[in-house]
Amino acid sequence: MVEKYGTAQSPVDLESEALVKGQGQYTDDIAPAGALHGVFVRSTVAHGIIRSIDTAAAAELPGVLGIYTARDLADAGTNPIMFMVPLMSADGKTPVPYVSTPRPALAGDRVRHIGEAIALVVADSAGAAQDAADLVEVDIEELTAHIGTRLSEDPVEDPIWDEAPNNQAYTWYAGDQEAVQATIAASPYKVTLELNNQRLAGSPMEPRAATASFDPESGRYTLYAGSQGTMFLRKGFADALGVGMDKVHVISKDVGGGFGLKVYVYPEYVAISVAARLLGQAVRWTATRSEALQADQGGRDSHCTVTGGFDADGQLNALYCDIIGNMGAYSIGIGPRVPSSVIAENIVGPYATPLIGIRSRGVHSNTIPTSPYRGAGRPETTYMLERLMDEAAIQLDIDRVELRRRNLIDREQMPFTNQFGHVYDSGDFAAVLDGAMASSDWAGFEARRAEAATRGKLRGIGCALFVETAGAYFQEPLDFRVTEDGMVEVRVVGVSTGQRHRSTITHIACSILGIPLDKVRYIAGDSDDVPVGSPTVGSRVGQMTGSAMHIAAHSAIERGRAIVGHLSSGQPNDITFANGVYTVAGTGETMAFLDLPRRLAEARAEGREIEETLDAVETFQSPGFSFPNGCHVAEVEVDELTGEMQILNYTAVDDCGNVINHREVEAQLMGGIAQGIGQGIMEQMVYDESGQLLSGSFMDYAMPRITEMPQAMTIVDLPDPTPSNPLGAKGVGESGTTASVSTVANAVADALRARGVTNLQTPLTASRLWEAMRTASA
Amino acid sequence: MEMKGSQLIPAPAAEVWAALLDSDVLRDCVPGCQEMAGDPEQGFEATVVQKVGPVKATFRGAVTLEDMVPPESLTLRGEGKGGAAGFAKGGARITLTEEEEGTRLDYDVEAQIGGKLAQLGSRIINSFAKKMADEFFARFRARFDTTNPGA
Repeated sequence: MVEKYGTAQSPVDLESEALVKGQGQYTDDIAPAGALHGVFVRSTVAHGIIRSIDTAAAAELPGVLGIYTARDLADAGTNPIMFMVPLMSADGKTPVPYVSTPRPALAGDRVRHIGEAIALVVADSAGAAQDAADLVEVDIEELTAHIGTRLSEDPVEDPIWDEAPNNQAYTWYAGDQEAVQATIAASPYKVTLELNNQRLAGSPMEPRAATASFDPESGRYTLYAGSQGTMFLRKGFADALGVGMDKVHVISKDVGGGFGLKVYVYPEYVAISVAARLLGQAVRWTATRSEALQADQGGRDSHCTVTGGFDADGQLNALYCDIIGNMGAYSIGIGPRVPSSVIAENIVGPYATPLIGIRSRGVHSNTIPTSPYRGAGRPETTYMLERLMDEAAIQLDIDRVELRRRNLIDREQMPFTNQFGHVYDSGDFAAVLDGAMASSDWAGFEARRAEAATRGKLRGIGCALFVETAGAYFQEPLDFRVTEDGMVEVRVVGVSTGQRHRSTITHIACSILGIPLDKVRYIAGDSDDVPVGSPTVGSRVGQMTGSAMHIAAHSAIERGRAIVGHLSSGQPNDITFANGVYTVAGTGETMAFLDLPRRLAEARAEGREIEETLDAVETFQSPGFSFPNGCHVAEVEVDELTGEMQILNYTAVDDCGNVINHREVEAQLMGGIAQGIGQGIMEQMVYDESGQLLSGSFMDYAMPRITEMPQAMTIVDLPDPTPSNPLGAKGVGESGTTASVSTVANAVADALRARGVTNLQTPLTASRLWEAMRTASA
Repeated sequence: MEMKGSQLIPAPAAEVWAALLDSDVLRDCVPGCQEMAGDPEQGFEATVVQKVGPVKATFRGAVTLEDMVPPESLTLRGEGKGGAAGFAKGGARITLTEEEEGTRLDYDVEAQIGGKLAQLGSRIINSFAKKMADEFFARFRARFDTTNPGA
């Protein structure tokens, strides 16, 4: 038995031991007998016209069984990969036009970014395939490459899409533009900031991999590929192959990190599937890290100009965000939604700003397409609000914490319907702010700053408040069964990419059903075997799948009561349930919940007609987003001479609603904070002017390591449960990232303010800080 | 990638000029050169095997000569394709100035690197290019070094 969830402090961990002992089953571990190996030939130029592809020398190498190009895929009836989720207006009612960007699985006449797949070489060993791929000669006539997150007003030379002469992907508005601009103009204080969210690489520890096969009898493709849930992947995969959803079977086993980039179909999956069909054998492919950096969907990459109009007493009257989002070469996944509608969903934050306006414009560039990366618009939104608050505090000469306090939405105002129609049903923003101030000893900071100065260190402190949307898709089905061998079987859509879903959901099930943890079979990731639902995105599984589990377990107990009624002499009203066992009042007869299917089968074998079953597919329906919120504080020191920066203390006070297990919440927050710190201080994808990728390995793409992490981290739960789901949970998967980019940036800005530094852009590397100090003092 | 440098060659400018345009001399002096053919009018074609950091490749390149002012200056333009390894293309401006002890050769290179070379080799391209230039000139100078009978 386990403790009731919500009170457990020790981790319920059914998964980690097997994974760290190498007993997991990742996609690359799946090697059907005789499986062939695929290696892709990728574009070495960013933008160009393919004049010829010479595969003759490659085809002669021993072991090479097939070389495929765009023509072969077209002959096989495949379609380009299309953008799946429509871009909608802020109220969600009207589609907003965007440039159509059909993405080929293998580029045929045109390449649009470095690393775009051009040919697939299949051989009987990975080495032979690689050797042959190196011999494929591709002649590409270069076109002008378009790099950078900026928009030209005029037509450009060699636009990436003919439909978009200046490479503009879309224009999107939210809020009353004129009223916002007029209010800002009339405000006594106008504060403007330019903020760049540099391009990031998602970099999951397990690179993408896939194994594809085709069964000629059933006409079905089977694809093993790591994903965050197979449903969207399956749809995109079937569409690209030009077959119905019933003709594809998609399976994700263990997955080592997703962060948003393992949701949709990728070109490689389509190409190896066609090859598998043509060759009549399974084909495997595993990305190298270098391929991951060239061909995994990119993250962030937006340029934001944020303007606030303030009263002299610090009231934010109106806020305007002007955003350019870099889509990369193609619009994929929910790419265009990240710098537009996701911003609108989150921009209100914790503040009672009367007027908010947004203009978002997408630009295509000759780079990898972008789509969600942990937080997906939430960190960018918080960055705008919280950098603005700090800058406004300086300009208005009001304490930055006090300025925030004056603008907060009060707990008494809940439920609070925000300007864009989303309802905050709970959340005490003053409480998380107070909690963070107390936990971080904010009041005692000036003494620590003075002490640091004696050591030649510029010490700074910064905070960020945030309110973010969580839940993503508001329906969650869960298939609940109990087998005759006395096991509960739970089938769900969302695949764990490291969040220990099985532990959390099993914990909930066992707490309600009063059964041991080893009596639950958790089944996820097989598209033939799980209900149709949504993947692991938007901090949703704990609250959504968890709530579906809660409902399914409780309803099963009720159905069990009726079954016990049939099998015993008792009436359902006389039957009590506790610790996994039904007891019939009066007779004292008992029956275990897990024994019911076996007993039912026996009774039916004896000819009794009992229709009830414990099994059911239950769907949890949420009224809308939940709103995790919190306040984080970072304390940093910057070396005056070298610009080297160290994060000393990091305090996170979070309201993620009711906590199912604190250790899991802590793990999610720590991982999220680390990823935000990566964006804040080191990570950056760098393309040169011609579109060459310069950060093509972990030698040049700076991944955060333990040495960059805060020396001390304090994580405090301050739940204000949501009434919108039976668990009262709000989600926590993205909160760490949402808050930490801004928190660290504000702390560094505070440290360097004494040196006259005013403009800082992430990543805040030592060289940038040194340069900023040098320029400011010059 | 940009690189500038200066070398003193112990020979008169006319001899240095002639050697620079001689495919046999170039084959001997370019590090890793497997083949070199051509002439100043038509340009040269070369095959060079080199390892740049983690990237090993056979580069097939073509070089044309422009703005030739014998024996004072010329511009080389070229492109080397290393297949899957990527490519390099660019130009070098070379000027010769006679001095007391020989001829000063100034070079000014501007090159663009692409593909795997840019992704994996970017951090070592500059030092690699300098090493290539040093090796080339060491061999080139040695041809004129009368104290070294082996040259």
